Amino acid sequence: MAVNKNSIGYTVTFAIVLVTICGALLATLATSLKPAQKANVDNEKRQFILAAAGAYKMEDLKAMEKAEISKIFDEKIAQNVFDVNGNEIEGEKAFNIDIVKEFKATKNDASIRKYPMFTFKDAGKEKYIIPMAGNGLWGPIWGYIALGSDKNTIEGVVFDHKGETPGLGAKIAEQTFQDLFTSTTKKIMSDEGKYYGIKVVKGGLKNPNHEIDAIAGATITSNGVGEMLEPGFKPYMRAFGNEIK
Amino acid sequence: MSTQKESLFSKKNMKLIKDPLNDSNPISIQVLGICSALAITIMLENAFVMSMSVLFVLIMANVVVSLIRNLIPDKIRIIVQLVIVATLVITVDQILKAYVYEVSKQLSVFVGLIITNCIIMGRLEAFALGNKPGPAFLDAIGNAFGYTWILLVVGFVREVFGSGSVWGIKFIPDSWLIDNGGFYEHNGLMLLSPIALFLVASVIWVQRSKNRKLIEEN
Repeated sequence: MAVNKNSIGYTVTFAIVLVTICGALLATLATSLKPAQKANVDNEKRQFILAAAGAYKMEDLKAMEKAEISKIFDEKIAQNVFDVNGNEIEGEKAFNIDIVKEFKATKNDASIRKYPMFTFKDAGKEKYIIPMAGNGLWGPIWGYIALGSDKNTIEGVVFDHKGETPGLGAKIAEQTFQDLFTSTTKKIMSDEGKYYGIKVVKGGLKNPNHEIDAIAGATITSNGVGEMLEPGFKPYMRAFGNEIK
Repeated sequence: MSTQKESLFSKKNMKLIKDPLNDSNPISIQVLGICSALAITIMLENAFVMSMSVLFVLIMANVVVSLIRNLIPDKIRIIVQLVIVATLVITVDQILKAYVYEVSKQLSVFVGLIITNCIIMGRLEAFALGNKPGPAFLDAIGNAFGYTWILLVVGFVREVFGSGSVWGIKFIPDSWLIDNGGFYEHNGLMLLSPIALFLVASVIWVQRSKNRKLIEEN
């Protein structure tokens, strides 16, 4: 029996069969690759945190085995989660909080957001690594900012982004931009105990201890970094025992 | 189609592989698939992974479409091709994310954009729909390698002059750089997409000056 290839019945049947086969294939594939993909994402997160702490260079971390990084991470990093007032939330693991998802889920109400923090301990010194997320031009941006043992001075930053423009906004993930945070002293609080955060500004720094130069040509990404960094430290500063309105 | 059984490696079939490498190269002659050629050729490794992804998708899509070419209803043939290509592309994307995470991050959206790569749709529509799987397989290999060699050339030049490295291995010592008191400076333009346009144009120029038949009259 010859099938009429142009009949509606045949066309619809063909479409349904094809889509079902493709769908089943993809579902199987996605499920079976999920663990490997999650391991990669977790590994990258550990790399970022250890790199921000300044104990390891990113290149060295990239060359390390996942198991090795995981071991170092578990040995040297303590985790806490705070609420907006700086009170510790018990029973939460900071590492399990996806900072970008958390940011998106609580976009309209930052007061219910959970604020994870990682504490790096080595040779009696402590560094406090604070993850943050914000909006870039094309998608989310996020970063890990390490404060020194004075709980105020920035000692290292790592930023990353989903899809900022290469050569412009994507520069936030480059060393040159990240070095701006450590080449001169940047502090969250002034010596008088007033909260500033870190502002991203154009046309020269007026308050060099609390400001960073924006990236030319990447206004929206730079603003995104500023909007993320300016208020972002408040819950942590409260947790450190500072009075902040 | 001749009823006589034709060898897979007959002269006519070998032409399917050879032509796209040179006289009907998808990038330099047909000027297809340019956007990925511009975007992901900063480093040789990215160009290579991208090429291999296109190779995989093109071969599989060409063969699959050719196998079911007599079953595909004419009215929905484009969308059927798209579904097949999209399935393959997502497969590649998932595998890259699982096994070469770093590279998959750098290729970012461009793996997904293989779906819209004109080379693939072009070959499916122009070749796979009207030919047997064997020749379709060869046609896919020819075109994918035609794409690959241009990407590798562009990627090589951009990496050498832009980052002073080949396949991620630096051959220009840091002490040569002006920043470190030396005399050398990487060419920043090489890291930006527009330079790929000049490089592809140079390939086209060389190719056409060697084979004047390729020059269009107007």
